[in-house]
Amino acid sequence: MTDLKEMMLYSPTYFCAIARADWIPELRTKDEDALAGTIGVAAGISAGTVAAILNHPVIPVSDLASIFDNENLPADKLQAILDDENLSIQRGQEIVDAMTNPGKIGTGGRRGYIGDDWSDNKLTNRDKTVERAPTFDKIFSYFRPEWTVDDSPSGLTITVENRRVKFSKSGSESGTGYIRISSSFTIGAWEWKYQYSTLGSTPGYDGFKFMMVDGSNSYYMGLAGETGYGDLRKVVGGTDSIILDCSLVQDTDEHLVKVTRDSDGNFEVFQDGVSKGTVTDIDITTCNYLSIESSDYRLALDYYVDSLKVY
Amino acid sequence: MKTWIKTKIIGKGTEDDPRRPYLANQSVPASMIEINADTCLCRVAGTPDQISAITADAEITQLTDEEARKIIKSKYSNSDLENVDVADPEVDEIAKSVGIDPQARADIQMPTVGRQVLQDQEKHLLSLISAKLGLTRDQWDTYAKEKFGKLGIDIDREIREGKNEAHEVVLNIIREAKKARDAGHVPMLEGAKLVCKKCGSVLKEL
Repeated sequence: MTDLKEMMLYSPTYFCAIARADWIPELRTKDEDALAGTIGVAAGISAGTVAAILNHPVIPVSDLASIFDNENLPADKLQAILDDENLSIQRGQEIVDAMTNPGKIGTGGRRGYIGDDWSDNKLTNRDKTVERAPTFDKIFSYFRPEWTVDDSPSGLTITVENRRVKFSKSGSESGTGYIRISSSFTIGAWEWKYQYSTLGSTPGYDGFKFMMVDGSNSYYMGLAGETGYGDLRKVVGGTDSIILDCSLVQDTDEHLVKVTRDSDGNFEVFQDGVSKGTVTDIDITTCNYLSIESSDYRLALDYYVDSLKVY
Repeated sequence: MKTWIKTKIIGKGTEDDPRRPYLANQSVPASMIEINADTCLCRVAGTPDQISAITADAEITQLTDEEARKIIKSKYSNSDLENVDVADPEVDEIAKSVGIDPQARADIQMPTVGRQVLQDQEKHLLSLISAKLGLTRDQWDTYAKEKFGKLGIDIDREIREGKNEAHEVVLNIIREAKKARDAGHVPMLEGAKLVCKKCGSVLKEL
């Protein structure tokens, strides 16, 4: 058995042969638990060696898949491996991306389309392996995406501060600024947190365009640093309509907004878990972008956005 | 209080002046589906005074659940009453007045009837208020049986289906029970009557 350990420690090829024990007649009948224990003794194997073993051509991918599907490797152990901090967020994301077949992954509501916690304090050149663990309860196909930023209007600056996007408005009115990503998501839920530093009686439009086709066609939540303001709107051919006046609670606390839409065009808007209303509309059925915008800076304030989840 | 209305669409369609339902200058939550370019169906919610001002307007027509359903179905065959609705601020105000945080709506996150959560949350808050006012399930059963020949649970279900009339039946009784309690009575339902458990007087024929 000592020789066997030596082989495992220094030769990935032999280790692979052991893994495929049916190739070695004398091991074929060996108790699997005993074999696993023997392998476990070789605790000095580095992660790199194990990776080389798993990558070795002598083991077909289908056999490796069988290992991960084997009842001797229980699901909670696999989950522990995937949850371990030594597996980087980036690598974990790549694994998720490779498993997008709904038959493989995504049951139990843990799958998301877009997610951003801005924990890297960036909008571009994102750090997907930033040390701080995401607080999200989902795994997203597009996590910490690259945002297109337009903060050219003179009354507006867009930054990320303390892990939140900050729209700083100077008090003068000028143009539309935004952060924008590609999105084709049309059925499910859009969820985000927002907060205003102050409120006033002058509107300052902050459109959260969760389903945007182009500049003239979109569904969006109209928010503003104005008491009692907040509604679900649509823009069709450039014409803006309020389809659900929700009368959201507006104060300087942070609030969580969620909008849901099903395949029949049924919307529901929530604030802090409370449904504020429902409405049906099917004028827009496609989406090219998700755009978080600010188009009026008459009221000097800071508007924060955080914890974006699309699922 | 909530109601269905048919009204004209106002607004130029800009961000500052969006197209929206005409609501007789009342600032109330409203859900709207367009019937045509000039007219829309709305469910609106507000205080009884606000709703009275809206329904009294000559350019606004109040509708029943059935009339509203026909319009919804003609536009969106897979949608129903539950899909054009708003949370009733009057329910929140009554909840606060009896010491219940309206945020209790959020206790419910999954629909039990239909696809939307709003009606289940609203029914939940109405149930909490009802219990706080001392109206029991048995009392609701005696009321529902005498008034409609069914059980309290049937009214309950109709609320969760989004029926405005069921919502208003329950809210009206809650209003009266609250008024009675504030006047020092101990309200209870006895068939289609609201009576005082303490003094035995009939407070309201329902």
